[in-house]
Amino acid sequence: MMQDVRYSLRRLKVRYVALRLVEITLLGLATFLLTNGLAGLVAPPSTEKILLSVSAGAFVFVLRFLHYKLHKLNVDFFIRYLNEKYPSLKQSSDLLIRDEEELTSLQQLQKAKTIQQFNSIYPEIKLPNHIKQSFGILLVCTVVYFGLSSFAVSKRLASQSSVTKDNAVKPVLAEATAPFISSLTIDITPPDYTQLKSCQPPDSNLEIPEGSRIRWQAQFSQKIAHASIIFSGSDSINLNKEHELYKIEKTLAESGFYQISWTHDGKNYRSDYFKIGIRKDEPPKVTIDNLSQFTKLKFTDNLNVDAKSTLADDYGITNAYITATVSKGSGEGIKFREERIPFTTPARVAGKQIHATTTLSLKKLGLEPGDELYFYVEAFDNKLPSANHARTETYFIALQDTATSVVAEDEGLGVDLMPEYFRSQRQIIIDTEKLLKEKKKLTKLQFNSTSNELGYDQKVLRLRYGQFMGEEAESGIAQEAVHHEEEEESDPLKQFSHQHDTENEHNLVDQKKTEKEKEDPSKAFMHNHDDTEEATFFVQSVKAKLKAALTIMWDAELYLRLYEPEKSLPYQYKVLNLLKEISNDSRIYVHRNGFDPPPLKEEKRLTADLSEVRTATNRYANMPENKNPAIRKALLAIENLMAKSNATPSAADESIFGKAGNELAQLAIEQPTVYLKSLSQLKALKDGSVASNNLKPVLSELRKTLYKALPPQAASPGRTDMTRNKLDQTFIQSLEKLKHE
Amino acid sequence: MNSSWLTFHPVFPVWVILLVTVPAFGFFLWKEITRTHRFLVIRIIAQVLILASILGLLLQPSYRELKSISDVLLLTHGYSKSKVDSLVKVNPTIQIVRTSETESYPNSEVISSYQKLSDYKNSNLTIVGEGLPDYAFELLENNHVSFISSGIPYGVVNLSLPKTITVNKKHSIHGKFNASEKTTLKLVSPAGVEDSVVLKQSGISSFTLSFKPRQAGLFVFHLEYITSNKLISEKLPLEIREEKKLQILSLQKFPTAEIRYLKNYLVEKGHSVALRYQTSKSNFKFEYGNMNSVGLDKISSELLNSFDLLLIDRHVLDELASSEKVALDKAIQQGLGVIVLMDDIKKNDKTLNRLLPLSTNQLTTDTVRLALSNSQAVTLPVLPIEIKSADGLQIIHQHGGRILSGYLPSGFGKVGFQLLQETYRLGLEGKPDDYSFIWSTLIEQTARTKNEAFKISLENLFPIYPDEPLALTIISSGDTPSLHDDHILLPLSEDVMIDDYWHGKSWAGKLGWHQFSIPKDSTELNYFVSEPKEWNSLRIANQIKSNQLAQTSDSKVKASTEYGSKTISPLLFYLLFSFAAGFLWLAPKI
Repeated sequence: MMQDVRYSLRRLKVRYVALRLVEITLLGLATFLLTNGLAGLVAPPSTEKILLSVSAGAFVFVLRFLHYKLHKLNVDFFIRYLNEKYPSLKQSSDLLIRDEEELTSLQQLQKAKTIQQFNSIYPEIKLPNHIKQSFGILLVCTVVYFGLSSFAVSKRLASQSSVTKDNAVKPVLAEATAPFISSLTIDITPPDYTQLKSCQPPDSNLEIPEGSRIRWQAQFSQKIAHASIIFSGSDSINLNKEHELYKIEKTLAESGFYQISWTHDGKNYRSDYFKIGIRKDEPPKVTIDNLSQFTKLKFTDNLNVDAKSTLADDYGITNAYITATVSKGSGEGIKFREERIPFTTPARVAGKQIHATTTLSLKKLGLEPGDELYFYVEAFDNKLPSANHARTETYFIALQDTATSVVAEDEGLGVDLMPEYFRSQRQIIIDTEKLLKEKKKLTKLQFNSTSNELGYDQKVLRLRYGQFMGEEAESGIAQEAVHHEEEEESDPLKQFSHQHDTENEHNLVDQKKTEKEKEDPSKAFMHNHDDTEEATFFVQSVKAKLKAALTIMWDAELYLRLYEPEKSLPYQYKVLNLLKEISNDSRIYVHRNGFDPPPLKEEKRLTADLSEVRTATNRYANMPENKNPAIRKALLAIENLMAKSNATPSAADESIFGKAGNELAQLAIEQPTVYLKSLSQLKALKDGSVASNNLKPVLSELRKTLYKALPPQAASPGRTDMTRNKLDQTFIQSLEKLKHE
Repeated sequence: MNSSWLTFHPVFPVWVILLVTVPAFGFFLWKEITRTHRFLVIRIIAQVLILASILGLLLQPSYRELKSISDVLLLTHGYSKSKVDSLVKVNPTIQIVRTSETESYPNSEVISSYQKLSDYKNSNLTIVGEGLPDYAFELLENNHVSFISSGIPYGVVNLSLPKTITVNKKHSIHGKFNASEKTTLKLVSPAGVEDSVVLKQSGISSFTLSFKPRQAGLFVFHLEYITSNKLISEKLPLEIREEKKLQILSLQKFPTAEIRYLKNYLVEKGHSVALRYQTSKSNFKFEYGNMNSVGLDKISSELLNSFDLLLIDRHVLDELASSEKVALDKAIQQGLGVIVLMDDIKKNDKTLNRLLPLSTNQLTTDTVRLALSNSQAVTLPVLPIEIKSADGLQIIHQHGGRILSGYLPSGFGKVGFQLLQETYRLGLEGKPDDYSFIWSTLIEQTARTKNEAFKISLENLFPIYPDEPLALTIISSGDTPSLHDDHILLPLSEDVMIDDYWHGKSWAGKLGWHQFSIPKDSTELNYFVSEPKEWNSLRIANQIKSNQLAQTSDSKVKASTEYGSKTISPLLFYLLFSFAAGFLWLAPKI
C-alpha cells in the first residue's frame, strides 16, 4: 500500500517536471522567435543573429527552470500542493510518506483514510502548469516574428549595403591621397519580357540578362572634377552629377567590361576593370516526342497522327505551330503545298515549358496513297524587339502505295530504261497467283513448265535490276534467254556469290565473308572507285535496298524453279514492296532556295566559242596571319625584361604594353575571365605604376597569358640559309663533272 | 739549323746574317791588323768575341739538356678519396695539387687559378674527379695526361637542342637523364607545360620532349625535374626564328584543286607566289599572291633566278621550248629548287627522266594510309609507282618503305617530286597541321638555299657560364669578316690550312642573352649565359666526356727523364759584346 502511494507520488513528480519542461521550452522558443524577429530589423541574417536568439531563448529557459526549482524538487512540494489543492485529503498528505512505525495509531488510521482518499483522487490530480499560456505566448511571438521578418533586412540588401562599404572602388594608381569611389551602387533592371525583378549585383562585376538596363551611382571620397565610365570597345560616357552623386544609365547588349575613370586636380584616375557578362536569351527548345523521323503508313492504317511536342524556353514561349508540306504526284510532276497547323492543346501556346499536341489528319490534308507529308514544329519566344525562334528537324510521313507499283517506271531516274519484253514484279505475282488457282486444272508437266517460265521471268527481272547495281557482266539478256540453262550449269554468276540455291549456302557465304575480311582489313579506308559494287548511280540506302531486293528475287526464283510457286509468293511480295520503296526513295525533297539561275541562251549552248575567254591576271596580297602584332611585341619585351636581373620597362616598352592592352581588350570582350586581370596588369605597366619588387611576378603572369593568347598556327615552309664557300663550289662542280662522265 | 746538341732560332734568315756579319768581320779584322797599336793578338780576340756575340744575338742558340719528369696528381672537385689513396700508395713521391674549389687532401698544394697549371708543364699529370674545363686544357700542352673520372652526376647528363627552331613548327629536345628515383621531366614554355615525361627507373634513361613555339624571338623555357621531394627548374634558352619567305613560281597546264589549295596556303603564310595555268589553247591565267606581276609568258634564266622554287606539272615540263629547257637546267645548277607535280605516269618521259633520273616500278595500290602529326591516320591517293632509292636521293616522306616524296640534288639546286595526290582534302577536313606537314618539309628542303656571306658557329657546348672563354669559327664565302660581340669588335685569325675559315675568341659576359654579329651582312648568332649554379649535372657530364677525350692516347707513362732544349740567355752575348767593344775602345788609350 505504502509502496503504491510512493510510486504514485514519484509518477506525479515526473509528470510535473515534464509539464514544466514543455512550458518553459515553449517560452524559450517564443523568446527565440521574438529575438530573432527583432534582430532581423536591424541586422542581416547571420550566424551571430541566430546565436543571439538561441542564447535569449536559453536564458529564458534556464530562468524559468531555476524559478520552478525543477532541479531540486522533493516530495514536500507535492504534499504541500495536495494539502492546499485537495481539501478531501484533510491536510494529511504528509502522512502518506511517513513510515508506519513513526505514527501513532490515530495517525495510522488517518493515513489509511488518506491513502484511500488519495487513490480515489489520484487520476484527477491536476498539477500546476502554464502550458496554455506559454503556448499562447509562442503563438503570439510566431505571428510577431513573421510580421517583423517582412520588414527585415534582406540578405541581398544587406550584402549590397556591405558592398557599398567594402567595395569602395580605389583607383589602380594608388596614392594614399587620391580620391576614390566611396560607394558605388549598381541597379540592374532586366527587360520587361523576362519578368525578372530588378536587383543589385553582389559586386561591381555584372552578370545580367541580355538587354538589361544598368544604373550606376557613384559617390566619391573627395570632390572631383569629372567622372566617366569607359566600356570595352573604347566607348566612354560621362557620368551626370546630381548633388554629390554621379549617375549614369545604359542598356547593355554585349559582353565585355567597363572601368570608371575620374579626374581630380588635373590627374586622371581609373578603377580596375569590371566584367560585363551577358546572359543571352536562348532560343526555344522544340522536340517532337512521339514520332520517329520517318513514318510509313498504309492507306488502311489510322490516318490521324498525333504529334506531341515539348516546347521550352528560358523566359517564355509566345507562339508555336506545325508547318506541314504535302508532296503529291510523281516524276517531274511533283507538287508541294504548305500549310500551317496550330496546336489543339493547349489552345493558346504560352509559358516556359509546354507540352503541346495536335492531330494531323492526313485525309484532311489531302494525302493520297503515294503522297508524303513533311512537317516540322516551329516555336517563338517572347524576346523583344525580335523574338528568337527554333524549329525541329523535318519529319516525314509517307502514305505507301503498292497498287501502282509498276517497275518499269522508276520516277527517280527520270529516264524510262525498261524495255517492253519485261514482266514487272506485279505481273509475275499475278501470274503466280493465277498459276496456283489453276493448279488443279493443269497437268503436272504444264504446271512445272509454267512455274519454270515464271522463274525465268524472275531471273530476267533480277538481271535487269542487277544492271543498276553495276553488274554489267550480266547485260546480255537476250543471249541469256537462249542459253540460260547451259549458263546455269557453268554458273557464270558465281562471282556475285549469291549462291542461295546450293545446299551448303549459309556456310559458304559466311566463310567467304570472313575470308574476305581477313584478307583486306584496310578496305574500309580505301577508295574503291573501280569496284563494281561501289560504282552506281544510287545513294547508299537505295543501294542497300536494291541489293536486298535482288537477294530476295533469288529466293523467289528458286522456289519457282523448284515448282513450288506458293513458297515463292511471299518472297515476290517482299520484292514488290522493296521496289516500291526504292522508287519512292529516289524522290528527294529539297527545301526551295532563293536562287533562280538566269535562263541560258539556247544559241550559245555548246558552240565552243572561246572568243570572250581571255587571258586574265589576278593579283592579291594576303598578309600572313600574324594576328596580334602588339601582343607579340609585348611578349618579346617581357622576355627581354625577364632575362635581365633588374630591369625596368623603358618608355618604348610602356608604349608597346599600351598597344598590346588595346589588342588584348578585343580578346577580353570575348573571354573576360581569362584576360581582364592581364589587361589591368598591362595598363599598370603602361602607366609605370608597378612596384619594382612586384615587377617579376607581374611580368611572369602576363607572359603566360599573352603567350596563350596567341593562336596556334600551322607550320609554314621557310627558306634555309647556307654559306657557299669556295671549297663547296669546287666540290659541287667536281661532283657534277663526275655525274656527266 | 739543328745539330744534335745545339739548336738555333735565327731572327733573320741565316744567309742574310752571314752575308752581313762575315764581310763586316773581315773588314774590322783587317782594320785592326793595319792599326799600329799594341795588343794586336788581344784585339783580334776581342773582334772574334764581338762577332760571336752578334751571331749569338741574331741566331739565338739553344742547347740540349737532360730533364727529369715529375709525376703530378691533380685533384678536381668530386674526386674519390679511395682512388687517390691507392694512387698515392703506388707512387708515394707523387706531387699532389688541387684546384681551389676542391675538398682538401693531406699534403696537397692548392693552385689558385688554372694559369698556375703551366708550372706543371712537362709532367705526368693524373687528373682525378670531375676534370678540368676545356680552356684549362690548353695550358697543359706538353703534359702526359690521364684522367680518372668521378661518377656521372644525377640530373640531365646530355642535351641535344634542335639546330634551328622555327616558329609554328614542332620540334623535339632529346637528352639523357640520370635519375636517382622516379622523376617527372617537364618542358615549360611561357604558356605552361608543353610536354612531360615520367622516368620510372633510376639510372640513365633517354627522353624526348616536344614543343611547338607560337612566337619568334629569344625565349627562356624551363626544364623542370620533379621527384618525390623536390622540384628543380632550369632555364632553357631557345632562339625561335621566323621562317623566311620564299618566292615561288607555279606553272600548270590546267587548274587543279591541289595547286589552288597549295597556292592559297602559301600565300596565306606570306610567301610570294606567281601562278600560270592554261585556260585554252592560247589563253593563260596569271595569278600573283603577295608580289607584283611579272611576265610569265616565256621562261628565262633571269625569271627563274628571281624565284626560289618552281612547282611545275609534267605536262608543262613536256611542252617547254628547248631554250626554256636550257634555261631551267641552268637555273637548277645555280640553285633553283623544282618540284615536279605528277598526276599520272607516262613511260619514257625524256624531259622528266633527265630532271629526275629515277628508276620506277608500277604498283597496283593507289592509296596510302599515313599516320601524320598527332591526329588520326589519313588515307590519301598516291601515284601507283614505286621509286627505287638512288644515289643522292633524299627522302622526305615515306611509308612502309614506299617513297612518297623526296628530291635529288642537281648542281646547287634540287629537283623534288610529290607522289601524294589530293592532299588538299586534309586542309578541307580541318587538318591544317597535317597538310603543312606534307608540304612544308618538301618545299623547304627543295627550295633554293639563301647564300649567306658568313656563318658563325660557337664551339662551346651548352651551358655557357659567365667569364668562360668562347671559341668561335666563321665560314665566309670570300669576304673578310668583322665580328662583334655585343658591339665589341673581336680579333679573328684565318685558318692556316683552310681558306675562308676563321677562328675567334671571346669571353662570356653577364647573365642573359648576348649576340655575335657581323654588321656587314647582318649575320647574327645569339647565345645565352646561364647562371653558374644551373645545369650543373650537364656541365659535369660534358666536362668528364671532354676530359676523357683529351687524355693522351698512349697509355704508357712518360719516362722519368727527358731531353729538353734550353735557350742561351741573350744577356750573356750582350755582356760579351760590351766587354769586347769596351776593350777595343780602351786599347788605344792605354
